Amino acid sequence: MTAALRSELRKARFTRSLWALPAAGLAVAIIGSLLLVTAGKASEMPTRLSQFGPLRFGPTNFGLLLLVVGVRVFADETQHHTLSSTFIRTPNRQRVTAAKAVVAAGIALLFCVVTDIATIAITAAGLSARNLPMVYDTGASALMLARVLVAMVLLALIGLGVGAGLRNRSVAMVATILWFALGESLVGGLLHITRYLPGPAVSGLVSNTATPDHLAAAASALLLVAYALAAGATAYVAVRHDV
Amino acid sequence: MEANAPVEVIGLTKVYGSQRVVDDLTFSITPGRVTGFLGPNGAGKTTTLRMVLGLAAPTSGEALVFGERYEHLAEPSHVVGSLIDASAFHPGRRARHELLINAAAAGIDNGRVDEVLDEVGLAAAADKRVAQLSLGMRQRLGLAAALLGEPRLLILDEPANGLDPAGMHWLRELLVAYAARGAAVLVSSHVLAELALFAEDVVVLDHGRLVVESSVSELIAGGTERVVVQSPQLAALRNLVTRRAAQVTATDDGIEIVGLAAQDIGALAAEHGIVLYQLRTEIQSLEDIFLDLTGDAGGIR
Repeated sequence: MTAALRSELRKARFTRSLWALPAAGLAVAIIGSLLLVTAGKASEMPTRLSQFGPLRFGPTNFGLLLLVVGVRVFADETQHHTLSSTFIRTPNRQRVTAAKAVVAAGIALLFCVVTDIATIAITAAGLSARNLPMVYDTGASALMLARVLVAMVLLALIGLGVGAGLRNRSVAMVATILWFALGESLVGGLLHITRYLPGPAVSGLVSNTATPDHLAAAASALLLVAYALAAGATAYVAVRHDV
Repeated sequence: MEANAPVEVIGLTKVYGSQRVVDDLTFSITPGRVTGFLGPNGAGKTTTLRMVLGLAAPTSGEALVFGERYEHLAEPSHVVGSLIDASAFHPGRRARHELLINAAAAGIDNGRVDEVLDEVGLAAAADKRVAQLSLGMRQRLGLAAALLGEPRLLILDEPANGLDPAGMHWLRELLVAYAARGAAVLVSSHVLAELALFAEDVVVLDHGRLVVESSVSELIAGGTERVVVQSPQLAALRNLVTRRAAQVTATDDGIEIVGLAAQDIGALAAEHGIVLYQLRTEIQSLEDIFLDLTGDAGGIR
Protein backbone atom coordinates (compact mmCIF):
# COMPACT_ATOMS: atom_id res chain seq x y z
CA MET A 1 0.00 0.00 0.00
CA THR A 2 2.87 2.37 0.84
CA ALA A 3 4.41 2.08 -2.64
CA ALA A 4 1.05 2.62 -4.37
CA LEU A 5 0.32 5.60 -2.13
CA ARG A 6 3.73 7.12 -2.75
CA SER A 7 3.22 6.72 -6.48
CA GLU A 8 -0.24 8.31 -6.37
CA LEU A 9 1.09 11.19 -4.29
CA ARG A 10 3.79 11.79 -6.87
CA LYS A 11 1.19 11.74 -9.64
CA ALA A 12 -0.73 14.48 -7.85
CA ARG A 13 2.42 16.44 -7.08
CA PHE A 14 3.71 16.29 -10.65
CA THR A 15 0.39 17.12 -12.35
CA ARG A 16 0.19 20.91 -12.40
CA SER A 17 -3.25 21.10 -13.93
CA LEU A 18 -4.74 19.16 -10.99
CA TRP A 19 -3.82 22.08 -8.73
CA ALA A 20 -5.22 24.77 -11.01
CA LEU A 21 -8.79 24.45 -9.73
CA PRO A 22 -7.90 24.43 -6.01
CA ALA A 23 -5.53 27.35 -6.60
CA ALA A 24 -8.28 29.30 -8.35
CA GLY A 25 -10.65 28.42 -5.50
CA LEU A 26 -8.16 29.65 -2.94
CA ALA A 27 -7.73 32.90 -4.86
CA VAL A 28 -11.49 33.43 -5.01
CA ALA A 29 -11.84 32.68 -1.29
CA ILE A 30 -9.10 35.19 -0.43
CA ILE A 31 -10.61 37.89 -2.64
CA GLY A 32 -14.06 37.20 -1.15
CA SER A 33 -12.71 37.54 2.37
CA LEU A 34 -10.93 40.77 1.52
CA LEU A 35 -14.11 42.24 0.03
CA LEU A 36 -16.13 41.10 3.03
CA VAL A 37 -13.93 42.78 5.63
CA THR A 38 -13.17 45.91 3.66
CA ALA A 39 -16.47 46.67 1.92
CA GLY A 40 -19.00 44.91 4.16
CA LYS A 41 -21.18 46.91 6.53
CA ALA A 42 -20.18 46.70 10.18
CA SER A 43 -23.69 45.62 11.09
CA GLU A 44 -23.39 42.66 8.72
CA MET A 45 -20.18 41.35 10.24
CA PRO A 46 -20.57 38.20 12.30
CA THR A 47 -19.43 38.57 15.86
CA ARG A 48 -18.49 34.96 16.43
CA LEU A 49 -15.83 33.03 14.54
CA SER A 50 -18.07 29.98 14.21
CA GLN A 51 -20.60 32.08 12.33
CA PHE A 52 -18.13 33.31 9.74
CA GLY A 53 -19.06 32.67 6.17
CA PRO A 54 -15.41 32.05 5.22
CA LEU A 55 -15.29 29.12 7.64
CA ARG A 56 -17.95 27.44 5.61
CA PHE A 57 -16.49 28.42 2.27
CA GLY A 58 -16.39 24.86 1.02
CA PRO A 59 -20.03 23.81 0.96
CA THR A 60 -21.21 27.13 -0.34
CA ASN A 61 -18.60 27.78 -2.98
CA PHE A 62 -16.07 25.08 -3.63
CA GLY A 63 -17.71 21.69 -3.11
CA LEU A 64 -18.09 21.22 -6.84
CA LEU A 65 -14.44 22.03 -7.30
CA LEU A 66 -13.38 19.21 -4.99
CA LEU A 67 -15.79 16.83 -6.69
CA VAL A 68 -14.04 17.59 -9.96
CA VAL A 69 -10.65 17.05 -8.32
CA GLY A 70 -11.90 13.63 -7.18
CA VAL A 71 -13.10 12.84 -10.69
CA ARG A 72 -9.73 13.83 -12.13
CA VAL A 73 -7.66 11.79 -9.68
CA PHE A 74 -9.10 8.71 -11.35
CA ALA A 75 -10.28 9.83 -14.77
CA ASP A 76 -6.97 11.49 -15.71
CA GLU A 77 -5.59 7.96 -15.89
CA THR A 78 -8.19 6.81 -18.38
CA GLN A 79 -7.90 10.07 -20.31
CA HIS A 80 -4.15 9.58 -20.84
CA HIS A 81 -4.21 5.76 -21.03
CA THR A 82 -1.93 5.53 -17.99
CA LEU A 83 -4.21 3.16 -16.10
CA SER A 84 -2.54 0.20 -17.85
CA SER A 85 0.92 1.09 -16.56
CA THR A 86 -0.53 1.82 -13.11
CA PHE A 87 -2.10 -1.63 -12.94
CA ILE A 88 1.01 -3.26 -14.37
CA ARG A 89 3.08 -1.71 -11.58
CA THR A 90 0.45 -2.46 -8.94
CA PRO A 91 -1.68 -5.40 -10.07
CA ASN A 92 -3.80 -5.16 -6.92
CA ARG A 93 -6.36 -2.75 -8.31
CA GLN A 94 -8.20 -2.23 -5.03
CA ARG A 95 -4.91 -1.09 -3.52
CA VAL A 96 -4.54 1.46 -6.32
CA THR A 97 -8.11 2.66 -5.78
CA ALA A 98 -7.54 3.00 -2.04
CA ALA A 99 -4.35 4.99 -2.66
CA LYS A 100 -6.22 7.27 -5.04
CA ALA A 101 -8.95 7.76 -2.42
CA VAL A 102 -6.33 8.79 0.14
CA VAL A 103 -4.85 11.28 -2.33
CA ALA A 104 -8.24 12.76 -3.28
CA ALA A 105 -9.16 13.09 0.39
CA GLY A 106 -5.75 14.59 1.14
CA ILE A 107 -6.12 17.24 -1.56
CA ALA A 108 -9.57 18.12 -0.18
CA LEU A 109 -8.18 18.39 3.35
CA LEU A 110 -5.20 20.44 2.26
CA PHE A 111 -7.39 22.80 0.27
CA CYS A 112 -9.82 23.26 3.16
CA VAL A 113 -7.13 23.86 5.76
CA VAL A 114 -5.11 26.28 3.64
CA THR A 115 -8.19 28.18 2.52
CA ASP A 116 -9.58 28.31 6.05
CA ILE A 117 -6.33 29.59 7.51
CA ALA A 118 -6.06 32.25 4.79
CA THR A 119 -9.67 33.43 4.95
CA ILE A 120 -9.91 33.42 8.74
CA ALA A 121 -6.62 35.30 9.06
CA ILE A 122 -7.75 37.91 6.53
CA THR A 123 -11.16 38.27 8.15
CA ALA A 124 -9.79 38.50 11.68
CA ALA A 125 -7.17 41.06 10.67
CA GLY A 126 -9.71 43.09 8.73
CA LEU A 127 -12.19 43.14 11.57
CA SER A 128 -9.49 44.04 14.04
CA ALA A 129 -8.40 46.94 11.83
CA ARG A 130 -11.98 48.18 11.81
CA ASN A 131 -12.18 47.83 15.59
CA LEU A 132 -14.99 45.33 15.29
CA PRO A 133 -15.04 42.95 18.21
CA MET A 134 -15.04 39.22 17.52
CA VAL A 135 -15.64 36.30 19.81
CA TYR A 136 -13.21 33.45 19.21
CA ASP A 137 -15.53 30.60 20.12
CA THR A 138 -12.91 28.02 19.27
CA GLY A 139 -14.90 24.96 20.30
CA ALA A 140 -17.85 25.76 18.06
CA SER A 141 -15.48 26.87 15.31
CA ALA A 142 -13.49 23.65 15.46
CA LEU A 143 -16.70 21.62 15.26
CA MET A 144 -17.82 23.60 12.22
CA LEU A 145 -14.42 23.20 10.61
CA ALA A 146 -14.57 19.45 11.23
CA ARG A 147 -17.96 19.27 9.53
CA VAL A 148 -16.64 21.24 6.57
CA LEU A 149 -13.64 18.95 6.29
CA VAL A 150 -15.80 15.82 6.43
CA ALA A 151 -18.16 17.22 3.79
CA MET A 152 -15.34 18.18 1.45
CA VAL A 153 -13.48 14.88 1.84
CA LEU A 154 -16.68 12.93 1.14
CA LEU A 155 -17.36 15.05 -1.94
CA ALA A 156 -13.86 14.36 -3.26
CA LEU A 157 -14.42 10.62 -2.69
CA ILE A 158 -17.79 10.76 -4.47
CA GLY A 159 -15.97 12.45 -7.37
CA LEU A 160 -13.42 9.65 -7.40
CA GLY A 161 -16.21 7.08 -7.71
CA VAL A 162 -17.78 9.04 -10.57
CA GLY A 163 -14.41 9.25 -12.32
CA ALA A 164 -13.81 5.52 -11.92
CA GLY A 165 -17.33 4.57 -12.94
CA LEU A 166 -17.67 6.75 -16.02
CA ARG A 167 -14.04 6.22 -17.13
CA ASN A 168 -14.24 9.03 -19.70
CA ARG A 169 -12.87 12.16 -18.02
CA SER A 170 -14.75 14.70 -20.13
CA VAL A 171 -18.06 12.88 -19.68
CA ALA A 172 -17.42 12.48 -15.94
CA MET A 173 -16.57 16.16 -15.44
CA VAL A 174 -19.44 17.48 -17.54
CA ALA A 175 -21.90 15.08 -15.89
CA THR A 176 -20.72 16.14 -12.42
CA ILE A 177 -20.95 19.84 -13.16
CA LEU A 178 -24.33 19.53 -14.88
CA TRP A 179 -25.72 17.46 -12.04
CA PHE A 180 -24.79 19.97 -9.37
CA ALA A 181 -25.58 23.03 -11.46
CA LEU A 182 -28.87 21.84 -12.86
CA GLY A 183 -29.72 18.19 -12.47
CA GLU A 184 -29.96 18.14 -8.70
CA SER A 185 -32.53 20.91 -8.41
CA LEU A 186 -34.44 19.57 -11.41
CA VAL A 187 -34.59 15.95 -10.27
CA GLY A 188 -35.04 16.91 -6.63
CA GLY A 189 -37.88 19.26 -7.47
CA LEU A 190 -39.68 16.86 -9.76
CA LEU A 191 -39.45 13.87 -7.45
CA HIS A 192 -39.59 15.85 -4.19
CA ILE A 193 -36.34 14.28 -3.00
CA THR A 194 -34.15 17.38 -2.91
CA ARG A 195 -33.10 17.03 0.73
CA TYR A 196 -31.85 13.50 0.09
CA LEU A 197 -29.49 14.49 -2.71
CA PRO A 198 -25.73 15.06 -2.22
CA GLY A 199 -25.69 18.87 -2.53
CA PRO A 200 -28.37 19.49 0.14
CA ALA A 201 -26.70 16.80 2.28
CA VAL A 202 -23.56 18.93 2.30
CA SER A 203 -25.60 22.01 3.23
CA GLY A 204 -27.27 20.03 6.00
CA LEU A 205 -23.96 18.80 7.38
CA VAL A 206 -22.64 22.33 7.85
CA SER A 207 -25.91 23.77 9.20
CA ASN A 208 -27.07 23.72 12.77
CA THR A 209 -30.69 22.96 12.04
CA ALA A 210 -32.77 21.00 9.58
CA THR A 211 -34.83 22.92 7.03
CA PRO A 212 -37.30 21.87 4.32
CA ASP A 213 -34.34 21.94 1.93
CA HIS A 214 -32.01 19.69 3.86
CA LEU A 215 -31.85 17.20 6.70
CA ALA A 216 -30.22 17.82 10.09
CA ALA A 217 -26.43 17.62 10.37
CA ALA A 218 -26.16 14.02 11.62
CA ALA A 219 -28.62 12.66 9.06
CA SER A 220 -26.91 14.64 6.32
CA ALA A 221 -23.54 13.22 7.37
CA LEU A 222 -24.90 9.68 7.19
CA LEU A 223 -26.42 10.39 3.81
CA LEU A 224 -23.11 11.72 2.47
CA VAL A 225 -21.27 8.69 3.84
CA ALA A 226 -23.80 6.49 2.04
CA TYR A 227 -23.15 8.34 -1.22
CA ALA A 228 -19.39 7.99 -0.71
CA LEU A 229 -19.78 4.26 -0.03
CA ALA A 230 -21.87 3.90 -3.19
CA ALA A 231 -19.12 5.72 -5.09
CA GLY A 232 -16.56 3.37 -3.55
CA ALA A 233 -18.60 0.35 -4.60
CA THR A 234 -18.82 1.79 -8.12
CA ALA A 235 -15.05 2.20 -8.23
CA TYR A 236 -14.58 -1.33 -6.84
CA VAL A 237 -16.64 -2.81 -9.66
CA ALA A 238 -15.25 -0.48 -12.35
CA VAL A 239 -11.59 -1.30 -11.74
CA ARG A 240 -12.23 -5.00 -12.17
CA HIS A 241 -12.93 -4.50 -15.88
CA ASP A 242 -10.32 -5.02 -18.56
CA VAL A 243 -8.15 -2.01 -19.29
CA MET B 1 18.13 -21.90 -14.41
CA GLU B 2 14.44 -21.06 -14.37
CA ALA B 3 12.13 -24.02 -13.90
CA ASN B 4 9.25 -22.21 -15.57
CA ALA B 5 9.16 -20.49 -18.93
CA PRO B 6 9.28 -16.68 -18.77
CA VAL B 7 5.96 -16.63 -20.60
CA GLU B 8 3.73 -19.65 -20.99
CA VAL B 9 0.37 -19.27 -22.66
CA ILE B 10 -1.96 -22.25 -22.47
CA GLY B 11 -5.20 -22.45 -24.45
CA LEU B 12 -5.65 -18.71 -24.10
CA THR B 13 -8.90 -17.40 -25.51
CA LYS B 14 -10.47 -13.95 -25.44
CA VAL B 15 -13.92 -13.27 -26.78
CA TYR B 16 -15.36 -9.78 -27.12
CA GLY B 17 -19.04 -10.05 -27.97
CA SER B 18 -19.20 -12.35 -30.96
CA GLN B 19 -15.57 -11.81 -31.89
CA ARG B 20 -12.92 -14.35 -30.94
CA VAL B 21 -9.90 -12.10 -30.72
CA VAL B 22 -7.57 -14.75 -29.32
CA ASP B 23 -8.43 -18.34 -30.03
CA ASP B 24 -7.01 -21.26 -28.03
CA LEU B 25 -3.49 -19.88 -28.18
CA THR B 26 -0.63 -21.93 -26.74
CA PHE B 27 3.05 -21.02 -26.83
CA SER B 28 6.01 -20.34 -24.56
CA ILE B 29 9.23 -18.39 -24.79
CA THR B 30 12.78 -19.14 -23.72
CA PRO B 31 15.13 -17.20 -21.41
CA GLY B 32 18.16 -15.59 -23.00
CA ARG B 33 16.50 -15.19 -26.38
CA VAL B 34 14.57 -12.53 -28.25
CA THR B 35 11.21 -13.84 -29.40
CA GLY B 36 9.33 -12.00 -32.10
CA PHE B 37 5.58 -11.99 -31.65
CA LEU B 38 4.32 -11.54 -35.17
CA GLY B 39 1.02 -11.16 -36.87
CA PRO B 40 -0.92 -8.80 -39.11
CA ASN B 41 -2.79 -5.88 -37.57
CA GLY B 42 -5.73 -7.23 -35.59
CA ALA B 43 -4.20 -10.69 -35.21
CA GLY B 44 -4.64 -10.53 -31.42
CA LYS B 45 -1.05 -9.76 -30.40
CA THR B 46 -1.80 -6.81 -28.12
CA THR B 47 -4.78 -8.55 -26.55
CA THR B 48 -2.57 -11.55 -25.79
CA LEU B 49 0.11 -9.36 -24.22
CA ARG B 50 -2.54 -7.54 -22.15
CA MET B 51 -3.76 -10.89 -20.83
CA VAL B 52 -0.19 -11.93 -20.00
CA LEU B 53 0.20 -8.68 -18.04
CA GLY B 54 -3.09 -9.09 -16.17
CA LEU B 55 -4.76 -6.12 -17.83
CA ALA B 56 -7.46 -8.21 -19.47
CA ALA B 57 -9.03 -11.37 -18.13
CA PRO B 58 -8.94 -14.41 -20.43
CA THR B 59 -12.28 -15.87 -21.44
CA SER B 60 -10.58 -19.24 -20.99
CA GLY B 61 -7.08 -20.63 -20.71
CA GLU B 62 -4.27 -18.99 -18.84
CA ALA B 63 -1.16 -16.91 -19.28
CA LEU B 64 1.70 -17.50 -16.86
CA VAL B 65 4.83 -15.52 -16.14
CA PHE B 66 7.56 -17.71 -14.66
CA GLY B 67 4.81 -20.14 -13.70
CA GLU B 68 2.51 -17.61 -12.01
CA ARG B 69 -0.32 -15.39 -13.09
CA TYR B 70 0.98 -11.84 -13.41
CA GLU B 71 -1.24 -10.48 -10.65
CA HIS B 72 0.21 -13.04 -8.24
CA LEU B 73 3.82 -11.91 -8.74
CA ALA B 74 5.19 -10.47 -5.50
CA GLU B 75 7.34 -7.80 -7.15
CA PRO B 76 6.10 -7.59 -10.73
CA SER B 77 8.33 -4.69 -11.80
CA HIS B 78 11.44 -6.70 -10.87
CA VAL B 79 10.21 -9.66 -12.88
CA VAL B 80 8.60 -8.10 -15.95
CA GLY B 81 9.30 -4.83 -17.72
CA SER B 82 6.69 -3.91 -20.26
CA LEU B 83 5.89 -1.34 -22.88
CA ILE B 84 2.31 -1.61 -24.08
CA ASP B 85 1.45 1.90 -25.24
CA ALA B 86 4.09 4.56 -25.83
CA SER B 87 1.50 7.32 -25.71
CA ALA B 88 0.43 6.27 -22.21
CA PHE B 89 2.03 9.14 -20.33
CA HIS B 90 0.50 12.28 -18.91
CA PRO B 91 1.41 14.97 -21.43
CA GLY B 92 1.84 17.64 -18.76
CA ARG B 93 4.38 15.74 -16.68
CA ARG B 94 8.13 15.75 -17.19
CA ALA B 95 9.85 12.61 -18.46
CA ARG B 96 11.79 12.24 -15.21
CA HIS B 97 8.59 12.65 -13.19
CA GLU B 98 6.89 9.84 -15.09
CA LEU B 99 9.76 7.54 -14.18
CA LEU B 100 9.76 8.71 -10.56
CA ILE B 101 6.05 7.82 -10.38
CA ASN B 102 6.80 4.36 -11.77
CA ALA B 103 9.78 3.94 -9.48
CA ALA B 104 7.68 4.80 -6.42
CA ALA B 105 5.02 2.24 -7.36
CA ALA B 106 7.67 -0.44 -7.76
CA GLY B 107 9.63 0.50 -4.63
CA ILE B 108 12.66 1.36 -6.77
CA ASP B 109 15.26 3.87 -5.63
CA ASN B 110 15.09 7.32 -7.30
CA GLY B 111 18.72 7.01 -8.39
CA ARG B 112 17.75 4.25 -10.81
CA VAL B 113 15.67 6.79 -12.76
CA ASP B 114 18.76 8.67 -13.91
CA GLU B 115 20.46 5.40 -14.82
CA VAL B 116 17.67 4.29 -17.15
CA LEU B 117 17.34 7.76 -18.64
CA ASP B 118 21.01 7.48 -19.57
CA GLU B 119 20.55 3.94 -20.80
CA VAL B 120 17.86 4.94 -23.29
CA GLY B 121 19.56 8.17 -24.33
CA LEU B 122 16.99 10.48 -22.79
CA ALA B 123 19.11 12.15 -20.12
CA ALA B 124 19.14 15.46 -21.99
CA ALA B 125 15.35 15.43 -22.35
CA ALA B 126 14.63 14.28 -18.79
CA ASP B 127 13.09 17.58 -17.76
CA LYS B 128 10.98 18.03 -20.88
CA ARG B 129 7.27 17.57 -20.58
CA VAL B 130 5.93 14.46 -22.31
CA ALA B 131 3.91 16.62 -24.71
CA GLN B 132 7.21 18.04 -25.99
CA LEU B 133 8.67 14.61 -26.75
CA SER B 134 8.52 13.03 -30.20
CA LEU B 135 6.93 9.60 -30.57
CA GLY B 136 10.39 8.10 -30.77
CA MET B 137 11.41 9.79 -27.53
CA ARG B 138 8.22 8.57 -25.87
CA GLN B 139 9.09 5.05 -26.99
CA ARG B 140 12.45 5.49 -25.32
CA LEU B 141 10.71 6.78 -22.20
CA GLY B 142 8.47 3.71 -22.24
CA LEU B 143 11.53 1.50 -22.56
CA ALA B 144 13.16 3.35 -19.67
CA ALA B 145 10.09 2.61 -17.55
CA ALA B 146 10.26 -1.04 -18.59
CA LEU B 147 13.93 -1.28 -17.61
CA LEU B 148 13.50 0.41 -14.22
CA GLY B 149 13.22 -2.78 -12.20
CA GLU B 150 16.00 -4.62 -14.11
CA PRO B 151 13.46 -7.34 -14.92
CA ARG B 152 14.14 -10.90 -16.09
CA LEU B 153 11.55 -10.55 -18.83
CA LEU B 154 10.77 -7.71 -21.24
CA ILE B 155 7.41 -7.58 -22.99
CA LEU B 156 7.31 -4.88 -25.63
CA ASP B 157 4.40 -4.14 -27.94
CA GLU B 158 5.56 -2.53 -31.18
CA PRO B 159 8.51 -0.79 -29.52
CA ALA B 160 9.98 0.40 -32.82
CA ASN B 161 7.01 2.60 -33.70
CA GLY B 162 8.21 6.14 -34.25
CA LEU B 163 11.90 5.28 -34.06
CA ASP B 164 14.18 6.52 -36.83
CA PRO B 165 16.69 4.09 -38.42
CA ALA B 166 19.32 4.99 -35.85
CA GLY B 167 16.77 4.50 -33.09
CA MET B 168 15.82 1.10 -34.49
CA HIS B 169 19.46 0.09 -34.62
CA TRP B 170 19.86 1.22 -31.01
CA LEU B 171 16.75 -0.75 -30.00
CA ARG B 172 18.05 -3.92 -31.66
CA GLU B 173 21.39 -3.61 -29.90
CA LEU B 174 19.68 -2.95 -26.57
CA LEU B 175 17.35 -5.93 -26.79
CA VAL B 176 19.96 -8.35 -28.06
CA ALA B 177 22.33 -7.27 -25.27
CA TYR B 178 19.53 -7.58 -22.72
CA ALA B 179 18.72 -11.11 -23.85
CA ALA B 180 22.42 -11.99 -23.86
CA ARG B 181 22.42 -11.27 -20.10
CA GLY B 182 19.96 -14.12 -19.68
CA ALA B 183 16.67 -12.26 -19.79
CA ALA B 184 13.79 -13.20 -22.05
CA VAL B 185 12.54 -10.61 -24.51
CA LEU B 186 9.14 -10.85 -26.19
CA VAL B 187 8.66 -8.20 -28.87
CA SER B 188 5.52 -7.85 -30.91
CA SER B 189 5.47 -6.30 -34.32
CA HIS B 190 3.63 -6.38 -37.59
CA VAL B 191 6.80 -5.21 -39.33
CA LEU B 192 8.58 -8.44 -40.07
CA ALA B 193 11.69 -6.83 -41.52
CA GLU B 194 12.66 -5.19 -38.23
CA LEU B 195 12.21 -8.37 -36.19
CA ALA B 196 13.97 -10.56 -38.74
CA LEU B 197 17.17 -8.67 -37.96
CA PHE B 198 17.42 -9.69 -34.33
CA ALA B 199 14.69 -12.10 -33.18
CA GLU B 200 15.93 -15.64 -32.63
CA ASP B 201 12.50 -17.21 -32.18
CA VAL B 202 9.14 -16.29 -33.60
CA VAL B 203 5.56 -16.86 -32.58
CA VAL B 204 3.26 -16.05 -35.48
CA LEU B 205 -0.40 -15.29 -34.95
CA ASP B 206 -3.23 -14.84 -37.41
CA HIS B 207 -6.86 -14.21 -36.55
CA GLY B 208 -6.08 -14.96 -32.94
CA ARG B 209 -4.68 -18.40 -33.66
CA LEU B 210 -1.14 -19.71 -33.48
CA VAL B 211 0.24 -20.18 -36.97
CA VAL B 212 3.78 -21.15 -36.11
CA GLU B 213 6.13 -21.25 -33.14
CA SER B 214 9.70 -21.79 -34.20
CA SER B 215 13.23 -20.48 -34.25
CA VAL B 216 13.89 -18.07 -37.10
CA SER B 217 16.61 -20.32 -38.51
CA GLU B 218 14.29 -23.33 -38.58
CA LEU B 219 11.59 -21.26 -40.21
CA ILE B 220 13.90 -20.09 -42.95
CA ALA B 221 15.30 -23.60 -43.42
CA GLY B 222 11.77 -24.88 -43.88
CA GLY B 223 11.02 -22.23 -46.47
CA THR B 224 10.54 -23.13 -50.12
CA GLU B 225 13.34 -22.96 -52.68
CA ARG B 226 12.29 -21.82 -56.13
CA VAL B 227 14.26 -22.07 -59.33
CA VAL B 228 13.75 -19.22 -61.76
CA VAL B 229 14.23 -20.15 -65.39
CA GLN B 230 14.27 -18.15 -68.60
CA SER B 231 14.38 -20.02 -71.87
CA PRO B 232 13.12 -19.73 -75.47
CA GLN B 233 11.76 -23.28 -75.05
CA LEU B 234 9.69 -22.86 -71.92
CA ALA B 235 6.82 -25.12 -73.02
CA ALA B 236 9.17 -28.07 -73.56
CA LEU B 237 10.94 -27.49 -70.28
CA ARG B 238 7.61 -27.14 -68.45
CA ASN B 239 6.52 -30.55 -69.79
CA LEU B 240 9.74 -32.18 -68.67
CA VAL B 241 9.75 -30.87 -65.11
CA THR B 242 6.03 -31.42 -64.61
CA ARG B 243 6.53 -35.09 -65.39
CA ARG B 244 9.00 -35.16 -62.48
CA ALA B 245 6.33 -33.90 -60.10
CA ALA B 246 7.70 -30.37 -59.87
CA GLN B 247 5.33 -27.42 -59.58
CA VAL B 248 5.60 -24.79 -62.27
CA THR B 249 4.36 -21.21 -62.16
CA ALA B 250 4.54 -18.84 -65.11
CA THR B 251 6.08 -15.41 -64.48
CA ASP B 252 6.33 -12.37 -66.76
CA ASP B 253 9.53 -13.49 -68.39
CA GLY B 254 9.92 -17.16 -67.55
CA ILE B 255 8.81 -19.84 -65.11
CA GLU B 256 9.39 -20.65 -61.45
CA ILE B 257 9.90 -24.27 -60.53
CA VAL B 258 9.41 -25.72 -57.08
CA GLY B 259 10.36 -29.31 -56.28
CA LEU B 260 13.46 -29.71 -58.41
CA ALA B 261 16.96 -28.42 -57.70
CA ALA B 262 18.64 -26.06 -60.16
CA GLN B 263 21.31 -28.60 -61.06
CA ASP B 264 18.65 -31.21 -61.89
CA ILE B 265 16.79 -28.74 -64.08
CA GLY B 266 20.05 -27.76 -65.81
CA ALA B 267 20.92 -31.39 -66.46
CA LEU B 268 17.44 -32.10 -67.76
CA ALA B 269 17.58 -29.14 -70.12
CA ALA B 270 21.03 -30.16 -71.40
CA GLU B 271 19.89 -33.73 -71.92
CA HIS B 272 16.98 -32.53 -74.11
CA GLY B 273 18.87 -29.76 -75.89
CA ILE B 274 16.89 -26.97 -74.28
CA VAL B 275 18.59 -23.60 -74.26
CA LEU B 276 18.56 -21.74 -70.96
CA TYR B 277 19.05 -17.98 -70.62
CA GLN B 278 18.80 -17.96 -66.86
CA LEU B 279 18.80 -20.56 -64.13
CA ARG B 280 18.97 -19.37 -60.53
CA THR B 281 17.74 -20.50 -57.15
CA GLU B 282 15.71 -18.16 -54.96
CA ILE B 283 15.31 -18.99 -51.29
CA GLN B 284 11.98 -17.84 -49.92
CA SER B 285 12.50 -14.82 -47.71
CA LEU B 286 11.23 -14.69 -44.14
CA GLU B 287 8.71 -12.14 -45.28
CA ASP B 288 7.41 -14.46 -47.99
CA ILE B 289 7.18 -17.27 -45.44
CA PHE B 290 5.27 -14.96 -43.13
CA LEU B 291 2.89 -13.97 -45.90
CA ASP B 292 2.33 -17.60 -46.77
CA LEU B 293 1.65 -18.42 -43.13
CA THR B 294 -0.78 -15.61 -42.46
CA GLY B 295 -2.21 -15.36 -45.95
CA ASP B 296 -2.68 -11.64 -45.39
CA ALA B 297 -0.46 -9.22 -47.21
CA GLY B 298 -2.58 -6.25 -46.25
CA GLY B 299 -1.67 -6.17 -42.61
CA ILE B 300 2.08 -6.19 -42.82
CA ARG B 301 4.85 -4.20 -44.32
